[in-house]
Amino acid sequence: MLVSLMATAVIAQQRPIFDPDDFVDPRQRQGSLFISRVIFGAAANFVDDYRPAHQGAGLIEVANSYYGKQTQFDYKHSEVRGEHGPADVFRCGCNPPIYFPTPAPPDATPAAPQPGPKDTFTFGWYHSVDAGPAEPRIMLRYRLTLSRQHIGTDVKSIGTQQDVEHRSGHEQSIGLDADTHFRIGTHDVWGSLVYATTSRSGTIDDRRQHELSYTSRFPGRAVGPLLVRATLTIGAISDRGGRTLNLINPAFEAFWHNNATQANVHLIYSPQTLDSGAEGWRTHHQIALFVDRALYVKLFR
Amino acid sequence: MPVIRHMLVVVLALAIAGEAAAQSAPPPVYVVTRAEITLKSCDRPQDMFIVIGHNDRNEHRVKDGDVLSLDLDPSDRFDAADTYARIRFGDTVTDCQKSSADLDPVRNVFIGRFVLTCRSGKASRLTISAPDDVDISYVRGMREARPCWLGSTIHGTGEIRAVLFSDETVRLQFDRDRPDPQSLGLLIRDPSVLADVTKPAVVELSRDQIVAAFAAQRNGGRMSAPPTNAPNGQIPEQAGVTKALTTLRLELNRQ
Repeated sequence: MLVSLMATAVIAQQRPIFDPDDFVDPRQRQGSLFISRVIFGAAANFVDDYRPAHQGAGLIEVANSYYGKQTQFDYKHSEVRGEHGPADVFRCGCNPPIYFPTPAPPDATPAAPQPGPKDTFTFGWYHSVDAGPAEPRIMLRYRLTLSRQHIGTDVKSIGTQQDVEHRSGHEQSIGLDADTHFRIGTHDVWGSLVYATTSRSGTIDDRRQHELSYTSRFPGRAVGPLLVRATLTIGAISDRGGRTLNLINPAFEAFWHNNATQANVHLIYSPQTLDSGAEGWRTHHQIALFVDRALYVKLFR
Repeated sequence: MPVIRHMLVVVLALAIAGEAAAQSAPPPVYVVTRAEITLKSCDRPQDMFIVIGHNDRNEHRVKDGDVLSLDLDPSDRFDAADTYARIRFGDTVTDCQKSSADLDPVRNVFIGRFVLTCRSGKASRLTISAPDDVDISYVRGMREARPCWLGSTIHGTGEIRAVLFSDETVRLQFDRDRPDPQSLGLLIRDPSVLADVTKPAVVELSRDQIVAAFAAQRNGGRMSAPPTNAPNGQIPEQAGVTKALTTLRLELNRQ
């Protein structure tokens, strides 16, 4: 029931806003394909996996993708740097120790991890389904995504300002997403159903969240040299109190390909409205501008 | 008793296997040497051409008489069980149907009988011009009958005849030496290529514009996959359109 409800209404935020889509229809190629791509850019009001960072961020990512017959393997390494750098963390000399700034309470939206390096592995599988007598078969993709980010925390004494503790923690995430397609009359309705679970441990703010969301992917259009498109994500994110359905996230993307440099420029406006028990509904206006370009391409025929 | 029960099970299994084998046996082959056509919903035309099978260039003139008919050369004979046909004449085209096979006891041959219905709407002629050393394949398909696709390969310059854009899609395949209905291709009737197919038009596309048109069609969800701006998706499209294709000219005219 919950799934069908959500099916009326994202972008998988397990992957950051900078991560360009990497769908390659197997019917577009006659052999295997390897692409290494660099992505760099910046975002205002950066949101990491539905957790606002309350600052801007810059990013560079190298994405390596191998496309087999019906499969796709990716390894991506990203380096995200926050606008303000890591916040100082203090500990009182009391027992049990209290850390400052104090972590968000369990019924509030958790803080995003301090921006840093992240490794992501993806396995994708393409599967075509019948589209009725009129059209070629519909190609859909199913993906398993695993990511891991190291989170190191230096803790100072609130009295002496000296380092008293170093924590070596991490955050890891596993997600499944499936493209969906159905027709209403003559209209194609495209989307992605995403489930992901993210857990953070070894930090002063260990948290876990489960996400179930549906992204409706509206057909884009060309406006001059720009390709524009919109998506709408509705979903449920656990462990932050409030309503079950606590995510509404439209996103608008403008894409421009430069033939001379073979670079692609992306401008994305993604206002995320999130609900939590402690804060109620809040909207975070995330805007990202980034550029990607293939570094190395190999077609295996 | 266990022996009898065992034998009963074996007999039952053999019966089920036999039934399954009978059901999966290939249908009989009716090699059609003569086609007879009944036309519905159209005036009796002159100069009719029938296209049998998937080769768009494989046109045969239909003999007009008491019965519209066609005697097939040995190389054009077909199995009535799996071949579709459609007729084109002037700016009119019929739908696309499979034949039924009847035995002619006198001549001891199979006659393929097609019942084809004229479609409303005027067909167009699409002339494709590319450099002489460039091959472009195309696949055209009636929206209501996917098995009935037609295709061919154009070497440099050629025509796609009698296209009824209201009923059929035409895709250009730049990376295939023969038309492949399972592969994608550039949709002709599309804002990125020919937005208005109701009147004569001429469009010239450079190689970069062809690649951009692919991207626009992917972004619009018109490539039988979710709408996407995936940069990696450009790579096979760029590789598939040969650099020799400096300019592609499409000219749309009344048939």
